[in-house]
Amino acid sequence: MNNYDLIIVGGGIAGYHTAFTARQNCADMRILVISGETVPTYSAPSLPDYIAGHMKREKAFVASEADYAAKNIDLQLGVTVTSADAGKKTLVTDKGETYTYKHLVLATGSLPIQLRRMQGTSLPGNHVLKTVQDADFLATGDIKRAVVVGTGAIGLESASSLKERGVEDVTLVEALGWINPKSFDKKASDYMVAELERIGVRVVLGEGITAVEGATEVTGVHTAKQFIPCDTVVWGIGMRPVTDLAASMGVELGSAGGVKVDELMRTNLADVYAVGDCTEPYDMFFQKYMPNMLWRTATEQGMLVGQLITGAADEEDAYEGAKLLFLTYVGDAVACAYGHTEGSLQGQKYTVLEDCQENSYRKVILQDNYIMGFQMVNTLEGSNELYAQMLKGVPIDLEEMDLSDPINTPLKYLCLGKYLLQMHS
Amino acid sequence: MKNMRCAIIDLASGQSGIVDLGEWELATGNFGWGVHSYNEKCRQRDISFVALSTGILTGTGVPGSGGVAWCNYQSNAKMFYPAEGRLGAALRYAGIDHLAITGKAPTGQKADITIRDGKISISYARASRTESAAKAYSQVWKRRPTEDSVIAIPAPSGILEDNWFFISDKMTSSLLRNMGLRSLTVSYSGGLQIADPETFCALAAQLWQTRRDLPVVSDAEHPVRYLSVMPGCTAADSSAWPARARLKSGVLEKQMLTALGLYWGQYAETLGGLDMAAKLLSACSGDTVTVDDLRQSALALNRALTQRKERVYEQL
Amino acid sequence: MKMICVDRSKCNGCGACQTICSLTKKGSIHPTESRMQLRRTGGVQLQYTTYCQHCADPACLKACLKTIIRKEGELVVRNFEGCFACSACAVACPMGAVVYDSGVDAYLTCDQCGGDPLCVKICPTGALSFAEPAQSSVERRSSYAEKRQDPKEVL
Repeated sequence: MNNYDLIIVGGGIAGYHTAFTARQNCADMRILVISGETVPTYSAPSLPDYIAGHMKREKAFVASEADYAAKNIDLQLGVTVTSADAGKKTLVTDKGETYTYKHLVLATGSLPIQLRRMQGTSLPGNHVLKTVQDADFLATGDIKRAVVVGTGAIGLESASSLKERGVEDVTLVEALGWINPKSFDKKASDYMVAELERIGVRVVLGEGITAVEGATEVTGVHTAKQFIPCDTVVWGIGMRPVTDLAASMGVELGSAGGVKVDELMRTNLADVYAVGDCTEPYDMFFQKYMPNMLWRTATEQGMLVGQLITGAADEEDAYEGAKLLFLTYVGDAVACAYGHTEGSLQGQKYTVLEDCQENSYRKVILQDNYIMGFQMVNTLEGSNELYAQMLKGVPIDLEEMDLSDPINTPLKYLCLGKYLLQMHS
Repeated sequence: MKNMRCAIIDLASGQSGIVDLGEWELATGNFGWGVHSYNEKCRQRDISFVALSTGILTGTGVPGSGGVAWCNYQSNAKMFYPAEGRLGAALRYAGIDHLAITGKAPTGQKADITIRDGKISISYARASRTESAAKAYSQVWKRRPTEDSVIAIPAPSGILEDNWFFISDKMTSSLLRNMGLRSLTVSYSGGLQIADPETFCALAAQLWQTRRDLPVVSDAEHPVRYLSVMPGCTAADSSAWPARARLKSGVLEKQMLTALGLYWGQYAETLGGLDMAAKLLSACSGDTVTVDDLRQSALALNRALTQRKERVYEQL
Repeated sequence: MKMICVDRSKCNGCGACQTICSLTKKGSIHPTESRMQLRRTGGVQLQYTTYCQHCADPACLKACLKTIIRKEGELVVRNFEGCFACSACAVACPMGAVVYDSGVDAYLTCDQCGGDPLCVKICPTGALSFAEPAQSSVERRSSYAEKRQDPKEVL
């Protein structure tokens, strides 16, 4: 029977939550998940732990085929949807099957940006880290010298985990002036560089890759200033949303190329939703529609759609918005950032509070009475309070604060004690 | 948890180190734990210092275990101070059982010591004649490494912990002030191993529950002796610290329990006294400690102190 | 559902709760890894405790990168063997209730000791209680009304 109440295209965490939440709220609707991957849902964020040798491969999986079957959710692995007709509410797969749906959820995810025009980028030895199969190579492949390109979460975690795995020679290359300028200012980067160097990763900043060297396989990379010999290049230079199917069926895309969704994850087409990396949701803090390729966003959106479709939630339960929280481990040091950086506030007036310790760093950026951003390296003390306060969007009282007390004062006033003071003074 | 670790800090040179002093021992003739073992070693090298010593139960939070022993060798005095504060505990969580401060800061300078998980750092600043303990505290508080750092400031009336209550007598505090110590900050992320956690937990829970029924008043505004089993201390007493509370148990016992870093007073006897102490020590250390062991050890201690004509003060 | 409730006017920051929690859960005394945390950010006048509130719509559940947190009845529970210590739940929790445990290398939360929380039993000042939240709120309001006091005075 190829008629379903709910078809979800994509078996990542967004699709998983949509399916399982729908089933939780409706015992008898027919649910189908069509996944292009050959394995069931796994935690991509945990793959670096597998690469490093800290976690067994099978532990990365969030659900098995048996888990899907136990919930009576049909799962097709290794199948691609080639076309869909929103009017007829049908879709066709590369196995030649046609299905009908009442509700369609696009959870097609994202893929790593790969340079095609640069010399040498198609040689064997060029890798990305997205799927568990990518991780298999990085975890077990014979790698002697690796160059990791990019200092987003993928780059930082790839470099760290390769080193932890025992690869002798690991170089991390970033084209911009410091580590991940989208999330951090330079001083936070300095702390991260220190930690990377402490674990033996060589860090190259301000140099982009110009070419990959090699005849039949990678032998090294060129930057404007140097040649770095290597046998493996891991490209962590960003992700692009997968929207081929969406575009082909007439789903409207947003300005950044992701699927345009409203606060109920609806696309412009009736009964067609989109969740996860492929979307451009509304960001809670920046208050604009922008890509958010994070696990939590995919989770929240998938759960919401699973509830909406089954009537367990309605229009009043609109999505609060995506949160672009940067949280990763650089070596043994955690690095966390949310909101604006000094970079993104350039030209504006703001106050910076910093707590610079020998091994750890915290920074809060304030503007008028609002927390505009925070960055932390090797500590998370106060992060949950800052994060919660920023999500609430409630101002803090700067007059109450002693600005000569870096970092601790805003935290003091953010704790529950502050509310006590206010209530009773 | 067997090895005693002592942090030694020289205010004159700014140098510091952590020394392993060997095992905690209860056996008679070895003067018990705490201040006495270390003192013996320092005495042999004729160093004058002010030492803060913890006991084997310090940091376990058991009522009465908060006390610290101050020993100052300039005047040959040992002072047990049932501080019930966090400094002793914090030091132990930071991996230190004794702290010995020696030397004098350079003229015109004051030292701020920061201990964080076994690492010691000392910074010097120009000494200010007019700076009050409260002012010094607020400065140091802003720079504290972690949320729950403990800050001790030698103030005129005693060493103030967290700007809240006293954890030493006047003399020890004056001595440290003269040596040029402005503040001591201790931060920690560690803990204490307990040999028999289940038994210890049951004993500790029993003590705490009993403590709830005692008349000692303690609340957010009057935290002094908040874990103590000592009698007579009310909220009003805290401002007259340390004069009012009185202990009625025997001198020998007090000396022994001082050595343990565990102060036992009148009410302790009703809770089980030495018997409870022996059980706690056994569960904590994994050795079998009996009441008789405690008495024997106390006798040996008393003998040694008398021989050396040392004065032992109890400050209440 | 019964919750651990704290009367801040009685809390004197002794930390007995942290001691007994870590002792009973970890087998060692380790206040910084106790699931009942005494927060001292604001200084001695503003200390307060944080612990899992077993939220109806838990942020930690949504943030978990391994999907190991779930609701079991009213409680928020986690399969900590699957935890790879990413800290996402710790940052997401608005209470700051998630604590790293070095013994199991995982992030953990208060589970109310299976219905009979030890911290409540031993709190030396009686600041902690275990009650239906509505009940303890009612009691507090009644106490204010009864004493006809300015709440500031009570605190």
